Amino acid sequence: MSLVVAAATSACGQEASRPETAGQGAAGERPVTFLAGQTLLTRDGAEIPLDRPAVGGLMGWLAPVGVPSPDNEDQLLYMSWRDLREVDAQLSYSDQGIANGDPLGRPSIRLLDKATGDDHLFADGAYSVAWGAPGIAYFAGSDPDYRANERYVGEILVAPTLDASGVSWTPNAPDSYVVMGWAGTTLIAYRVNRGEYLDVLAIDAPGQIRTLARLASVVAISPDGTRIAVHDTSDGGSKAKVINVPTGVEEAELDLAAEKGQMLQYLSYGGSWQGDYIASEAAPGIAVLKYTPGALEVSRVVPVPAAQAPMGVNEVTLLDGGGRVVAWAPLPGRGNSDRGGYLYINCTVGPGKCTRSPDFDSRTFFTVYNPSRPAKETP
Amino acid sequence: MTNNRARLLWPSRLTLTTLFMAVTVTVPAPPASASRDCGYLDFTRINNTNSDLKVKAYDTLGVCVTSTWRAGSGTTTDPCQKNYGWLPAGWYDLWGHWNDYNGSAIWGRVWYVQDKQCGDGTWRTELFVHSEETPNRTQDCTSNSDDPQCWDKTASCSSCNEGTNDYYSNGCIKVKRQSPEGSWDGHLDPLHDTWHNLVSSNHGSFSRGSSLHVHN
Repeated sequence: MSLVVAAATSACGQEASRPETAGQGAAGERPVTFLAGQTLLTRDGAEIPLDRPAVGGLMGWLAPVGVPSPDNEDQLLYMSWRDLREVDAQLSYSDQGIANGDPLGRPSIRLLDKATGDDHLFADGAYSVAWGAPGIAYFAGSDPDYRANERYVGEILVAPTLDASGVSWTPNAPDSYVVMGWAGTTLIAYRVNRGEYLDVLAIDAPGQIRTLARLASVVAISPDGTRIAVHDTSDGGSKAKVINVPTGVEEAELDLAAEKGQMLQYLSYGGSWQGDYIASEAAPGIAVLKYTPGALEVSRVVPVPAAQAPMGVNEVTLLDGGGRVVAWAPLPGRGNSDRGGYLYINCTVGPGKCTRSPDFDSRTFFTVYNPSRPAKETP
Repeated sequence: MTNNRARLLWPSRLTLTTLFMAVTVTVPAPPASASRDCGYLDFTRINNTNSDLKVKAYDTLGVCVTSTWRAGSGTTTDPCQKNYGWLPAGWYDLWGHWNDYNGSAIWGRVWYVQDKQCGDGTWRTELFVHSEETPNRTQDCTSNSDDPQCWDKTASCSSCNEGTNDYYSNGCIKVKRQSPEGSWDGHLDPLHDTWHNLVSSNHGSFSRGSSLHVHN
């Protein structure tokens, strides 16, 4: 793959990419699989209905809302949510008679078999999944219901197979966790603190919990599962870092407040890592970083005009060995409404040219992906 | 016999309908009552580092007066993006206020507000109004460009004023305070004083309805 290695200042001066429409290949093919509301949009153009809507709920898209099985992707674990009462988001709780402790909703994880269409409950009162060779890890609430003015706390369970019971990997440590992915046999997860600040945890076995990074979020796990790329704000600043998972040692750092990385301002979770390249949402649009042992640098910036994606892009996927990136963008609603639909963009990294999809008017939109590494080789 | 078994196996449509309704009833929202006209924090979303935070409060003459300060929220403008987006629009109850909060990333004078669901169903949680100071309301500033318990002089952009980078947050509303790193006016002191003098003198965990309004 040929990428233009550019200094930060000249990369900032690149002409903004002008998206063309379509974004889809032959016969409705899509670059990746998406979840749009209550429909699975597959790469080959199929639209598979779900029994329940895909909703991030208490985790948003801190971890993937739809996780395909690691072997052949025929099965999908996806997050859903059931409202236990109507909640008007424009009103305060007190203005609509919601008292402390009132049950407001219940998260769940569902299992879809794409071949048969069977869609059933996998875990109730649970959300976030890591699915890899060591098994299926997920977060289960101590109380299945989310209640007003109560933190949703629980434990991380790991089951060796879909049909087996889960064993707690956070015994005697109930907290607010989000499971992210497997890095080899180590589980990567978040602990959610006050202010939505996240700690990145490495859990090697039941009860063996290490903190890899404080006040940070995981961009991606390396292809061999030995490292994670993170966005770290632990010292009050903004840094991209690569951390060795088994040792916890920081192996590379790029200060996003300094000249070399300043224009990026931040990176976000839901990125991807292929070969030496790491892609993430950043302030100008999509950032592609290059990691070599001991060094992390900005390789390319794919600008996404604010007019096209006023709220930025999310869940950036590297394809074609790093030559293409795909991401989805929410569209603003009217007035104080948060959502007016979605689109996705499909960009070639080198020329920085993007095509965009037609708009989707679903309530939710997410990329289906499995961040656990190493990934199983597809035959 | 066959007919009786048939009735057991195949209930009437009316019975089915009744059963379906009994199983799927959810608690409806009661009619909404009016939120406050005065006596609350009001946050107007403009951009992540330069938005308006007001205290609307009755003065000693019973007139609702407004005091306005610059404030920030989030790192992106997507209110559904946990850990990055600015706060979702709407009214929030206040769940507590402390002068000496000692958290893992938030300290000192803070206001704790209710969780809020965004348009895609994502819940924003653990939300506060706060600044950057120590639990005992002082500053811990070093030569680093960004200290978590210091309102740093770092600018949010190359052409921006000093002391603006700290307006960025994970979503919380942030207010500037005086700091040894600059000679700017602090806003946290007057905000805090106005709140206590004119709105509420409560500290600790408590519930106060409709105390923050976030909007464009």
